[in-house]
Amino acid sequence: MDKINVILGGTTKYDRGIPFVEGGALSQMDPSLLERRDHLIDNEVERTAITEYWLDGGLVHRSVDMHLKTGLFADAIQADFGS
Amino acid sequence: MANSQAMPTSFKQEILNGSHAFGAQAANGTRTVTTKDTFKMALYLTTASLGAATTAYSSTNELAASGNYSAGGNAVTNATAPTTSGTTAFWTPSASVQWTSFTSSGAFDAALLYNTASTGTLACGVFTFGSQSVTAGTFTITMPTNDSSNGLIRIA
Repeated sequence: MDKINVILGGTTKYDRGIPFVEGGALSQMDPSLLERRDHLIDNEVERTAITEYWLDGGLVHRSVDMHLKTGLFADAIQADFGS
Repeated sequence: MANSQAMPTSFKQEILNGSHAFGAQAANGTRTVTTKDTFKMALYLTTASLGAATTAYSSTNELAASGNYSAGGNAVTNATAPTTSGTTAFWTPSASVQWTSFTSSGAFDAALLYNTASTGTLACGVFTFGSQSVTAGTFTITMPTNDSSNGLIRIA
C-alpha cells in the first residue's frame, strides 16, 4: 500500500472539538501501521468526509473532503407600486 | 467574533458598478467584456470575523502558510460563465478547489472568494462550514450544483 504523509512528533490539540497537530515533522508511513478513523458530516450546508490516522493516541494525518450543498443567495426586494 | 456566511455588502455595490466580471459578455449596448476576472479562495481560522462587512482579502487570521497552502489561497477554476434560470442568475466555479499536503495552523471554518484581477482583491463571498483541520493532508471543497437553487452565487 502507498505510504501517506504524516506529522510525527507533534502535539495533538483540540480547537472547538477538532483535533489538530502543533509541531512535529513531516514524514511518510504505511497506513496499515496506523489507526484509521472516518467521520461524516451531512447537514444542509455540507457533506464532508474526514479521514484521520492516529498513532499511539496522537493524530498524525487528517484529510477533509467537503461538498458544499448550496452557496450565497441575494434576493432582490420587490417594489410595491401602491396598491 | 465568528465567521458568518454572507454576500459582502460591498460586493453588491460593486456588481452594480460593474466591478466584477465572472464571465465574458458580448456587446449589449452598454459595454463588451472580453476578459473575465480571476478569482481565488482563501481559508480562515475560527478566530477570524469574516462576514457581510468584509470588503477585501486580508491575511489576518488566514491559515498560516504550510506545505501547499500559501497566503492568498488557491485559484478558482472558472470555465462556466454566469447564466440564468427563471428569474435567478447564478455562477459556480467549474471545478473543486483543493489544497494538498499541508497542515493547518488550527481549526478553520470559512473560505473567502475574492477577485484577484483587482489590486484591491475585492471580496465576493464568505462561505462558512463546520470547523475543520488538516494534518499532512488534503482539503477539498467540491462546489454545489450549478443551478438556480444551489449555485455558489445566486441573485434573484
